[in-house]
Amino acid sequence: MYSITANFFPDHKEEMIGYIEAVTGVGLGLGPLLGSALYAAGEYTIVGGYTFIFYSFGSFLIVCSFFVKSFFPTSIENF
Amino acid sequence: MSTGETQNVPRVGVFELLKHPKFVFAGLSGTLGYFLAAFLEPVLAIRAGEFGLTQVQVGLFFMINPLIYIPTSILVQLVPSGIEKRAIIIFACFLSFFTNLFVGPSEIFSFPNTLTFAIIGQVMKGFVEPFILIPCLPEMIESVISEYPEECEN
Repeated sequence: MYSITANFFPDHKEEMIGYIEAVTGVGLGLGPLLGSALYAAGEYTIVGGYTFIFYSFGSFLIVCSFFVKSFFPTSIENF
Repeated sequence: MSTGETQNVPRVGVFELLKHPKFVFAGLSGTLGYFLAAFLEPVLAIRAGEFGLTQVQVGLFFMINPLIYIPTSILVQLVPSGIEKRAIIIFACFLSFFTNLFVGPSEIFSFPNTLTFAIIGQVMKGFVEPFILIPCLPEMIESVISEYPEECEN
């Protein structure tokens, strides 16, 4: 991702990498919050706990992989 | 591009690139940046528990760093282009030393063992990390681009 960005925006490398890092930061922020909230909810409801997080987020990643297959180009020339 | 054309494109190997000190410096800075971002996380979760935080509050505690990281990542591009990227990375690494003193908090420097100091450290960490991580790749590319003009064109 970083190398493709640097390749496509040679004059704006820092700007674009900054945007990628910012979006990464959104995930880094939401991950612990959602994870710990769901883990704590496991004490009171069935929607929560370690096993629930493990399987739900794991399944979510599998769904994401199909989106990646659909939306991402197979080579840089097709971008 | 056909396979035949791809084979004719001059390539630069990794070991060739590693001969350039500036390239190695930028690469190691990236490694150090991610190391700084991650090395305290497992310990901090336990420390946050020691401060009496609940599970959700621990999640919120870990959210402080990205909350600062997001705007700072966008603001890094505003650093004047006249300032060398290496200088930015070195200065950010210097600042990260103080950041870790706060996150601890440091007993050697007699910082009080309070959650406030750990939060200040998390804020500082979120501010410093992008200044190490973002200039790394551009610095790696720019440090060797003049050496391999033909390869870079392709």
